[in-house]
Amino acid sequence: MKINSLIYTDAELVDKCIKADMFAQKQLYITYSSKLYVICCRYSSCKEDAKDILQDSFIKIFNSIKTYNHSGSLEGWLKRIVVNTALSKYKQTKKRVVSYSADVENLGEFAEEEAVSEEEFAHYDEQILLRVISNLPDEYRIVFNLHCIENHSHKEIAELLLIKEETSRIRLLRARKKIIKMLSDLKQAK
Amino acid sequence: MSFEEKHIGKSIKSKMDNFEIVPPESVWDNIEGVLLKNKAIVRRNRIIGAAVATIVLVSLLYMFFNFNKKNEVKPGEPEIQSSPSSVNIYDTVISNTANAGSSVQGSTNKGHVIQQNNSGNNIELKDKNKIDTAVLVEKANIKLNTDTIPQNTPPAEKEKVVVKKIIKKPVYIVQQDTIYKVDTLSKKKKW
Repeated sequence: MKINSLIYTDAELVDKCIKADMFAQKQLYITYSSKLYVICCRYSSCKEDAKDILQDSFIKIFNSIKTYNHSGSLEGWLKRIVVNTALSKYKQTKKRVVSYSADVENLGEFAEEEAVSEEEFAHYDEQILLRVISNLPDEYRIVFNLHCIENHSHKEIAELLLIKEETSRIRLLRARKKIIKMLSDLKQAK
Repeated sequence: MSFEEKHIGKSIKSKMDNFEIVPPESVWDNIEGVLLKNKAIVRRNRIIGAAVATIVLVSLLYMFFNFNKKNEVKPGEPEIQSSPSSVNIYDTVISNTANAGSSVQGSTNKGHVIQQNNSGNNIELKDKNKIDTAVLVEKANIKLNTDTIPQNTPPAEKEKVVVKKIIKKPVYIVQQDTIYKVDTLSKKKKW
């Protein structure tokens, strides 16, 4: 059951969280955890990793909430922390493994790629898209998220991940191709 | 690049913008556990800090009051002089120590001189100018026995030996027309 998020304003929530008010901390968690969990799922390959990222992110948030200077939106600040936590986790467990989760059902036999039209794409719900992104290899997924959803440039991504700009471009291209392929496979499976 | 590849990112972003998933309950339980643990650590550190500060403060106060009490002058007692001109028992020597059994004479920085005969019964006050500084002997007729000191010992050394023997016994000093028996270097009683 979701508690009414309008009990405190963002500024009041922050002030109370700085004072380690447990009720306010839970309030903040309940208000923003759903959106932040989506980010965690986008950056991770499985639910367990997503839960870990969310948990670590909120602990960091509560420990460093006094550094929030009310300059931007609270939601934006929280999302940045989650993304940074996800990147830290990725850097810690970097491995070059191509992972295809069993969560994506019945991919069907490998066939020629069929393009996915815009109308068809609209029918895919967020859950499926999330699964498709989670099924990308780690390095492709990170670059895709940072560029397409977080709107980082390739130069910024290269600095963040300590890779070349060209590598970032190649990974993004491959990520897009893979997403299209997986969506078309799903379309065929249906 | 095909149309889909070019726009797939934007399409996914627009779909994900308002998408929410409720995380499992266990996530908050774990977070709460960590927060409570951190709170307990902070509280414990504060208590330890307060205890240490209290102990330090009490120790300082105790030392301060103890120091003041030591230097306290009781009514009727003259203040102990700590000026260089005060009689320092270690530095004084006995004059005429070669004559065992002779009366020992001494003086203090106040100009009072005490002379004691062999029986130790009479104590007279005389002019300081006549007599060198000396250590006073206990009234109980402790004789100076210089026989144990080798003959070829220099006088200065001889005197030191005698002083060392006497220092173990209580001595008397005079301050402001009053004679005090000194049991130790730090305590004195009106005699």
